[in-house]
Amino acid sequence: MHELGVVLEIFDLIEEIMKEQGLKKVSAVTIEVGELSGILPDYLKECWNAARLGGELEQTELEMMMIPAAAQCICGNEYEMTANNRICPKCGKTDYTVTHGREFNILSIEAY
Amino acid sequence: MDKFKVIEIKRSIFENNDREADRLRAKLKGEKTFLLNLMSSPGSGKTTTLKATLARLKDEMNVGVMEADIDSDVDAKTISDMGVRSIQLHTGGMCHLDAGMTEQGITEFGTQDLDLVVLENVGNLVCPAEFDTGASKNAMILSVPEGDDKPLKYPLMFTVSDVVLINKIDTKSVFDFDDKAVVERIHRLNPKAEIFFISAKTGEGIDAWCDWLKKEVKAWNE
Repeated sequence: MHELGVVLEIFDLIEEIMKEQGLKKVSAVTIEVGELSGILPDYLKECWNAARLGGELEQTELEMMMIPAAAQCICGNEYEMTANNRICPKCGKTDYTVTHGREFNILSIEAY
Repeated sequence: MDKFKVIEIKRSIFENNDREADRLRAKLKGEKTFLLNLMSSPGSGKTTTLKATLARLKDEMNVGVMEADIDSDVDAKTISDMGVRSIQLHTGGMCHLDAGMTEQGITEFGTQDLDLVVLENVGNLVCPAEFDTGASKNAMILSVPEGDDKPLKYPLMFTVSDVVLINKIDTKSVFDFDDKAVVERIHRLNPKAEIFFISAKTGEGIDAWCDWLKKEVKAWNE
């Protein structure tokens, strides 16, 4: 149910972009989804497919690019968080700053 | 037929909501109304904590409560039985409130004469964290039985919360709860988070939390 609210947010933003750029039809939208964004891609897709029915975006396809969670350790090493169970593979510490994985953006739209 | 083209956008999906939230925050600031967004898991003692808090604040300032729930009015009844003005918002199946829904609630409730409005968000640690409601401050309750590893599991919630209340500390002897570890985990995500250890049941720690809230309300409404 969380993903449905998120889909409606995406609809609003697309409609705003269509208005701004004078677009008539959007055939596809590509979004980037960070691993730490809390969004489950399968659910998002299901909600998308249900919510678009009967609306202006009925024919619009959703494409998702997943971004793995990455962190920078205090030792300076940058590493993938999930593959390393959050532990820095270089120094063994878990004192890090998240550098990637929280993204949730519209990257591009295909339109005319 | 026109040719399709790809347009690069790179815009945050939550930007509309964030903008509406900022607008609502500015409006409430102008009206001298502090909005506290209270979040937690179901069963963390949110309503009990709220009751203990209201009992200490209601004679000092004008307080109102907006109860958000998927579909019931149990909590709003509990609050109005205390003599505090309240309204029940039904999210109609949605798991969180966004800034638009919050503004609708604020308008319906009529908050101009209130110094403090507490928004009791839907009990859930995932979705409410992602949607800025337009609140002056975000508070969340973590109860001892839920475990000291909650910040590791729900990092975003702890990142967006200005204050964390650790509730049900009277049950600490039953559960393996590490105070030091939980504080460290919260501060790693959010170094500025205020943390209060409380028991809404026994009243322990409630005064310190209420003092913090009173100070924040005063500063906001100055």
